[in-house]
Amino acid sequence: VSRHGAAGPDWRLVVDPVACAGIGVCAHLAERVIRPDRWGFPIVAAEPLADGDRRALRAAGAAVRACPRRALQLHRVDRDQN
Amino acid sequence: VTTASIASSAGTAAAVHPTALLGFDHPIELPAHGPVPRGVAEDGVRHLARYGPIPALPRGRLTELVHRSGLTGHGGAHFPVARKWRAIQQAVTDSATTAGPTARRPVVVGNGAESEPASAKDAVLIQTRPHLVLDGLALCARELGADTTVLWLHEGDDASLAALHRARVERQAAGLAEPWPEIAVGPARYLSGESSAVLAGLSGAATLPTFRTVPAARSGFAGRPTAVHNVETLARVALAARTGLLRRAGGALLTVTGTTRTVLETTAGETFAGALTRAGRGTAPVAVLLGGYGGQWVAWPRLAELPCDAPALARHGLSMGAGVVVPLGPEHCGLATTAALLGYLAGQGAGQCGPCVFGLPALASRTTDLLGGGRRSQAADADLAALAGEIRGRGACGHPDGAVSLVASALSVFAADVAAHRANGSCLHSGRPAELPGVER
Repeated sequence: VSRHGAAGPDWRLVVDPVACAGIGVCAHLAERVIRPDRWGFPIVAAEPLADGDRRALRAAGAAVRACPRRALQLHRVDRDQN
Repeated sequence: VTTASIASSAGTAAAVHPTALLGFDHPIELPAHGPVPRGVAEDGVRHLARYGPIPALPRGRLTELVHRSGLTGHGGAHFPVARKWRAIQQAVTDSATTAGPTARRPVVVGNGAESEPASAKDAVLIQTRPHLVLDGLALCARELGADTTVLWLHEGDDASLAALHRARVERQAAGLAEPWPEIAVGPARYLSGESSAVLAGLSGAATLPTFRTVPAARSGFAGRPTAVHNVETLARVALAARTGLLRRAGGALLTVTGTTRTVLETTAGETFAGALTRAGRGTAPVAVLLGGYGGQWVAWPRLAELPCDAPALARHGLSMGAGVVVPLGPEHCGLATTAALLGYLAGQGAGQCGPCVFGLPALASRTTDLLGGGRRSQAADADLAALAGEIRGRGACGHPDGAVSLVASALSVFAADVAAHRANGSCLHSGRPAELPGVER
């Protein structure tokens, strides 16, 4: 059971640093979970996003879909490995 | 003994040096720069006389022996070898469940691309003990059920390629039941030996690190479960198979580097003080750069009496890395040396990941700023730790993390030097960086 008490899996934001060009759309769309570094490349939250945190998940999903380089991914986190 | 008897399973008793397992009884001194001069390769007859034939082990036994020895990867990462093999065995089982008879067979890659200019131990090993490396490759393939083996070298490693090719032909003539190892050559660049770059190169893509979310043990070369092992690791697998030769993973091949490179095999329990004395570096250094250019500085009093043994070092929070040991004498400045090394590392990146492309030159210039004193120096000192934290863990490969580890260790080991430089730009030593292979001062 996640911290928010929901039944679904947790999710982790992952950046493919080779594909990422530091365009910065993601940090605008999901500022709670992505912040730009001093050169504009995204630093994603180290903590997995809990399934119950709907707002963060929606923003993260929007950032993933909007990335012009398709460099941002949401990975399922198995709780027993978490 | 004839070459043909390499294949026999009943060999003569192996005459192994009691402590130096790879048989390097004396340190080997090499020039600081350029290719490693061709060594005298041990042929099949002499190899057999020293080690005996490859033992026939039931499936699973070698994994157990390797696990019990505690063997880790001597390419630098020191990942436990048995754990990698178990992941591959698991991937094979999983794929057999889903794919049945079309399940993909594993691949074993022996990595001899020694990119670190300070290191020469892999070239020395390949050129003098090619059969031991090939034994390890064959044993690993047999244990994992691999039908494909590859030896990966740098362009220009001509002497190593020749030694491996000759040994390969000898083994084929002797009728050894093992896959014919393909030799593949990558570009002579720093990151060509990085394992994801090796896999990219083998697949015909550019030899550059790639972002992987699935480990090579599950899906590597052509989607097959793949083991990429440093050549010294393979040689140690060959020792582990000869029950009793490698009871525990003590010992390593070191390259002690400065104005020359000295390759020596440490024996179980030998301390760094002992190893440095044997390498002819009798004068105690101030600190040692351990592991490689992307390794870490360690103050000599902390390191001197520790054993040259990866598991023992890990218990002290240190890594043997690729076995590079660079002693820094009091005549050189550790901070200035670090700045020069960071300049080198910044120039050796693949140019792919933002945090590395921008971060490494920033680390180098901030460290250079630190040397000069004054306001720029204070600003650099205030920012370096944050800068390092911003880069750590954000590349596709470990290259930027190596630079971060180097600078973080320098700030701690050379704290007194940092204070002196920051205050008025004065150096507690000569102000000059140490001379290192490949690094501009």
